[in-house]
Amino acid sequence: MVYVMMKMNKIKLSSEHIIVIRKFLIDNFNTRNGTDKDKLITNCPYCNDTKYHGILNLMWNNFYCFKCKTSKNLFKFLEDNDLLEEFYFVFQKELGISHYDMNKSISSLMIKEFKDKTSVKESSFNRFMKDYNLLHISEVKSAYEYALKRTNNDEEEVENYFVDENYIYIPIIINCEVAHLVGRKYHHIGKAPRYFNLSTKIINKYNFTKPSESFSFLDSVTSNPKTNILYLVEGYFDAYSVNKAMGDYVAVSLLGKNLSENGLKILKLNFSPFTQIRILLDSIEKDKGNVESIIKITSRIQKVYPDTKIVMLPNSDPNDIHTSKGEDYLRKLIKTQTNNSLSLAEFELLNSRSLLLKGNSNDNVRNFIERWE
Amino acid sequence: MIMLETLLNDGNRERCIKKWNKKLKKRIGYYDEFDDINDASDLFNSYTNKIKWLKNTSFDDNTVVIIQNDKNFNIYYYKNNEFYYEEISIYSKKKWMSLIFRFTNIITNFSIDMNTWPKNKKYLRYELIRNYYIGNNFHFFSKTSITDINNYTCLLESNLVNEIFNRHLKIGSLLNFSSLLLNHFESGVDLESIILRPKITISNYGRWYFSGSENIQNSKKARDYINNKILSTNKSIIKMDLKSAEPNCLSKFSGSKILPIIIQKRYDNPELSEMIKFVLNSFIHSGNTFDIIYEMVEKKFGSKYTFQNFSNLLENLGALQDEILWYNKRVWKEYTSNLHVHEGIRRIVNPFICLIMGDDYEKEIWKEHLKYLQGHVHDQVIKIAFQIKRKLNILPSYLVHDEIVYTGDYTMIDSLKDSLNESLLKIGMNGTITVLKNKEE
Repeated sequence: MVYVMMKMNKIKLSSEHIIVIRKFLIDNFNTRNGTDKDKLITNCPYCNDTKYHGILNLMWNNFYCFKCKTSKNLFKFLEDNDLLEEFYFVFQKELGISHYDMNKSISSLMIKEFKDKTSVKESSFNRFMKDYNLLHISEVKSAYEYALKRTNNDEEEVENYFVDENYIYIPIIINCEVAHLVGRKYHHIGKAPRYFNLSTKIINKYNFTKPSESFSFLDSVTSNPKTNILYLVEGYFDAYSVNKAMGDYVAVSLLGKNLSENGLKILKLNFSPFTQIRILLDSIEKDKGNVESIIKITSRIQKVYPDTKIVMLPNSDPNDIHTSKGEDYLRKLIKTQTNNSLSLAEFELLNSRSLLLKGNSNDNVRNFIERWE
Repeated sequence: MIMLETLLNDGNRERCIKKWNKKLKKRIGYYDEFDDINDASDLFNSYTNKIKWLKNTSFDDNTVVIIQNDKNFNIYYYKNNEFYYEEISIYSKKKWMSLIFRFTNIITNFSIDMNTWPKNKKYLRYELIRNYYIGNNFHFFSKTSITDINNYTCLLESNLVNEIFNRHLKIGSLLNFSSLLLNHFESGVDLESIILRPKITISNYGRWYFSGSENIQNSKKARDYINNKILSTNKSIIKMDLKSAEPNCLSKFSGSKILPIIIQKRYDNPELSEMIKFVLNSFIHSGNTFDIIYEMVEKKFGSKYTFQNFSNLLENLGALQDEILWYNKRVWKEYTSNLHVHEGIRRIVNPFICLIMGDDYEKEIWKEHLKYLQGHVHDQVIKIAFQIKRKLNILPSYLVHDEIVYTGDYTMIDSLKDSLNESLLKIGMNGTITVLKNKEE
């Protein structure tokens, strides 16, 4: 218990959070006090229990039923009981925090059980952690420092990461569960590639979602009622930087440069056709291959979201700008560049030369002319 | 108001209903549920709840009203000769956005980011519509558009919709701009080094109260902190404060000849400024007669000082009181015959004044009515911001009651200053303009 308490203090999750969660659970479920003050016992909604077999552990943020052995994290439990939205509202109101801060806290609370090693043993991420010997990032100094650098010293964010000998693993939460992982190498030793991509075998074994269907920050962006804009960026850290700079959840990452049909389906499921989509990939000066990726993604999205435009960044990507020049500069830049964003036709015209020159055959020219016709 | 507490004494409830029936040309009977109501406003709302729509009333099917009620959006609209009502969670963004964007006219009671919502729609804020049309906790937009406070269908009535969304009309254009400004403030003003995201409450009397993240309006310390942050990014701040704004508005509405003289005296003699400010404030807000005010002035500033510098003060105050009495009577007459008063751009509803007999509550009514002067002053501030927006296409960074604050590069300071002066001349007001520059420059 002492170990857990120490961790609690470290990630700035105060007792206030627990008080609000406890009050919410007492108001919405038929509960009794458990053996200690961080536990509440209740009827398990999954097995029509009437004799209080369910236990809600507020310190570990999970639910367990001794009768049917169902175990869920607290937020999944609330979602299953159709109370998650109500909880968001109460949590935000009681603590007087913004939507951005609320989502940040909830992500930390969701990851906490894995960090404190109190999570339900059957969960896929827990199995993955065990099989691949993942540690919490605070245990590897060089990884911790690297992550701090990438997030411009955001300790609260870095606390959610895990590591092995090569990679930092960032959990991607979808529907209140760790659904995917992003791996980024944190040193230059050895021949391991820069990014760790989950293979189909791992995905199937641990029930993770496919990378093309795993948008980071998707839950947070879809639950943000304020804005109608959506930035699509390349990497996890880019999306993190854009969200941090804007002080609001407005960006999701594609985890690559492609958007599959399934990925588009997920966007269609979560965003209305009136949403303004802004493609904010790394600058084409930095990565010349991006011109084609941008055109491909934009023409695919445009069929569903008519208000899709391309935002160009000078010589860099959002995370680079965030770490080198700070979030105020990035916010200003994104805002001005968004105002000057280009439609697909304008973008193609501007980059027509590089498109035509690419490749030896006349296919590119023919494609280009066909599209114009 | 004290008068409202005594208004619902036995027997008065029935009299209220009869009187309102007469004024609004309705035939609402006396219901038993009225007996249990102890608040005058609740009684009027319960009364309006019984009013049914006239048969020939038409409704606009291109307008949607979205009211945020805790974690839900309550959505009201009219389609195929029927009213529709839906309740959708605010977090089900796709669902409610897909629904509301079918309409062209959108009325909300929460902030929206105008930059990211579709540009081909018209957006208004419910709080502002109610504020300009009623200035009270009722839904009484006109004699034909009247419902209880929890029924938002009155906002879909065609005549009202045509008025509020018509940008060629004075009220329509002002509502459009003030909604834009309110959304601009609430969705976050990006000042580069700091983002201000206040929660703005609009009082019935028309003032905008900022609360939330930064305590800009109430704490000078917080204001200084924000100003310093702004100045640190090599930007300049330009502030404009309206001078004697409330008395100026009052003199316009009452057609007073004395008030402008007293106000002018304040400008001409800076040493008297404090005293005249006190005189005007107590005259407007205390509701006391001129001799009492004069006594108060003597006590506060000393008789010698008063007489030497403003020898005919007593005389002036007496004459002013006479002038105001006529204005007062006119306002009273309008309230009693229509239940509302049109003043400036505002329509102020008070269904209780017609129920009061005798001159017992004159002071109370007078005080209550003059509270709306804050709203009229705020309208002048909005008008100035509107003119600046039209001319220079910039919006203010924040408001401190009668003060409007802009930030910008030093290159635009001169043009902004000229435009502010021009706007002041246009609306016929006096104001002081202050420029704060970075000390390093």
